[in-house]
Amino acid sequence: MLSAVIEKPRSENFDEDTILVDRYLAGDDTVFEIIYRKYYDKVFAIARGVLIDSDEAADAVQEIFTLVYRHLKRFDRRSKFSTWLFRIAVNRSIQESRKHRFKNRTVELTEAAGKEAPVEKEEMDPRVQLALAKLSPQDRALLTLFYWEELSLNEIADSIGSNVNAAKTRLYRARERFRIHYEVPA
Amino acid sequence: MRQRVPSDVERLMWLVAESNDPNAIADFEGRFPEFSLELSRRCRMMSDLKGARANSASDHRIPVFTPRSTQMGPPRKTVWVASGLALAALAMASYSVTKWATAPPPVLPKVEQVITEPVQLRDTNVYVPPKQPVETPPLQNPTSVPPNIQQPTSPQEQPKTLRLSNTSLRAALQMIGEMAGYHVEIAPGFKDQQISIDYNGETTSNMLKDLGAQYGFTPFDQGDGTIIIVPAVDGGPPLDDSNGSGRRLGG
Repeated sequence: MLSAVIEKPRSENFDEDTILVDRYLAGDDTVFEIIYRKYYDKVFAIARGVLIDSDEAADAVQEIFTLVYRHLKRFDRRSKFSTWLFRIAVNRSIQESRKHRFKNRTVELTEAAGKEAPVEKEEMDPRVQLALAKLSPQDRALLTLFYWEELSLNEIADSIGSNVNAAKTRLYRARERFRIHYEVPA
Repeated sequence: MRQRVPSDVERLMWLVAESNDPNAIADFEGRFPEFSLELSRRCRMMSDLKGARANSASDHRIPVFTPRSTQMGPPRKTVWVASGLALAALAMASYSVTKWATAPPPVLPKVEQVITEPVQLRDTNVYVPPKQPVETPPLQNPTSVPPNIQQPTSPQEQPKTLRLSNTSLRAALQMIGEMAGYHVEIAPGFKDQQISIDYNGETTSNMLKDLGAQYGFTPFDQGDGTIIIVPAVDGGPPLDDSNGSGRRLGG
């Protein structure tokens, strides 16, 4: 039973995206709307996992798809389209997170003072949210890609621009840091 | 007190917690009952973490995509450098315009002083009259002074014209001396008399010599602008020697 858990594949290959990209590059602009709707939730989840705030995540998603819309010709097909898209989403979300660093610090200070954090529209488990907020954007991106998007270690390595072993080590450390913050009594 | 988990059990426990498979959980708890509490904690944590993704995305509507006009901005450092350069250029331009607008008109060279050498006149035949005019004493009788007389250097050497009639000798001597700027003093014993004289173009010294020879006295120039008239003549009686030989004027 345990061996079945260990050998379970994380994701399957998906080449439908390549066909859509070819159609778009051939001049069919309506295809991009299909790509956008297909991956909106995944990109939003990544942005939300890194930025935590829903409004900031929604804004970052528009930025991310604008970048994809303008630079889709640069897609070199050495990896899956989804991996290429997630790499853009992770990098842009981390960049946006650095912009809003001051706001996150203000949230931490509010929580340290014993006050309740403002409630988001789409409620996330406050304990999870608090633990994620104490992590770095890079750690949040790793946990989001692995546990929310269920990407394989190879795909995560491609998305963050590292090799598989480094991605695995960084993922384990991020998970351990999350556990420490999560299990701290409120 | 939390029990320390061996690394191999730790790895297996994470796999079971991530799978959330009831059979795998039961199998693990049967093999490692001492870590069943720790496993339940991690299962709950994994459930909450994964459930956070579902909560965050389930209620979100997909907005219409409209490509934004703003692209990814340049790095913040580049923005600061560009802003600094722009401000520096603006400051330089402002300074240049202000300096150009408020600059005074070009200053022409100003001549402070002109020094010229006096013009040296060459020898010419131009006559330069003497600065001191000839003083003419008031005359009892009208006299005529001929013009165009060459003026000697000293007043007593200047030729004069003098005509007196029926005048005392003492007054005539005073007048002759004053014409040349002398003060005439007459020594005691001088014998005055009525005379008439007519000199034309004669100097003062010649007039006095001539009168002394005629009336027996000797003029002595003291050197301080004073002429003393002594009623005597050297080498002879003062009045009888009318030739005037051996008489002298001045000192």
